[in-house]
Amino acid sequence: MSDVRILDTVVLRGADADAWTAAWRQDYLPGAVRRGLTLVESWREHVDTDAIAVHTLWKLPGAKAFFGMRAAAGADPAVAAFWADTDALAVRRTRHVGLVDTPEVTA
Amino acid sequence: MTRWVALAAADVPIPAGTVGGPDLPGSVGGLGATWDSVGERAPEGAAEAVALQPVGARQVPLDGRRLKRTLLLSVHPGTPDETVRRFEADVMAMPDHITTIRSWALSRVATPGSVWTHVWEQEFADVAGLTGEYLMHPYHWTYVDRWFDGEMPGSIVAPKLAHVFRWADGPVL
Repeated sequence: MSDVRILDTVVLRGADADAWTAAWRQDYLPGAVRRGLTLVESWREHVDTDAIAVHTLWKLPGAKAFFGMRAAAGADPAVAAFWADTDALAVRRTRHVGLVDTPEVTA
Repeated sequence: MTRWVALAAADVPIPAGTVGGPDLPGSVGGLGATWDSVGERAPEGAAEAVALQPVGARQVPLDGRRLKRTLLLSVHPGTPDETVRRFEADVMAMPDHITTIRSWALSRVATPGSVWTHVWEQEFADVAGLTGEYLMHPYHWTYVDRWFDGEMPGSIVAPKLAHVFRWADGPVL
């Protein structure tokens, strides 16, 4: 069962989006997977005349896995460094953590 | 009189007038035992003791032995006081959501030079009340945890924590 979802949104100036995405793929994604996060999807959205939001949806199998991931991230200085670099570049950033509550839909 | 929380090695004798016991498996960041006392001075023999300045507390009747959990944490220096008060309010709302929390207390640390800024204490009827509903409740990990999660923009709590819990024969809070 995968019942935890994490949605990261990083809003960047248009000129920064490609470089940040490349850095994320190289410096953040592999470690996140090792910490137990499963990448569901990542997508882009133009949110202003010169601003692109990069959304990333992750999943985890439960609250216990969430806290395990949190502990591993907290113990890795590279994680804090990555987000510090991101926050220095980004227009804004959010992370939402939630519990899946998707209804069953029948045709 | 001041209430104190102290961390000590498990083999250090507990002084008269102080209650305490060894930290149970699953505790993290402690020194082996946790003590609680009330008095003018810190309990003697503790490696680390902090005086508590109450922010909020509630006493809930509970008979007999109970689990005493203590979380020592440190809010980043320079965090605006309004933000600290919002953090404190969010923490103190946990008992409204998490039914296994019985008596509780949130305090600011009044000991100059301490690495800790806050102490969040609870009593539970059993270990499962802490390791089950307390940790697993969505109010905890989808909301309150944002203050602790270094990956979360706006987090204010340093990664180093002391999360310790022990058995207590009677009420501590």
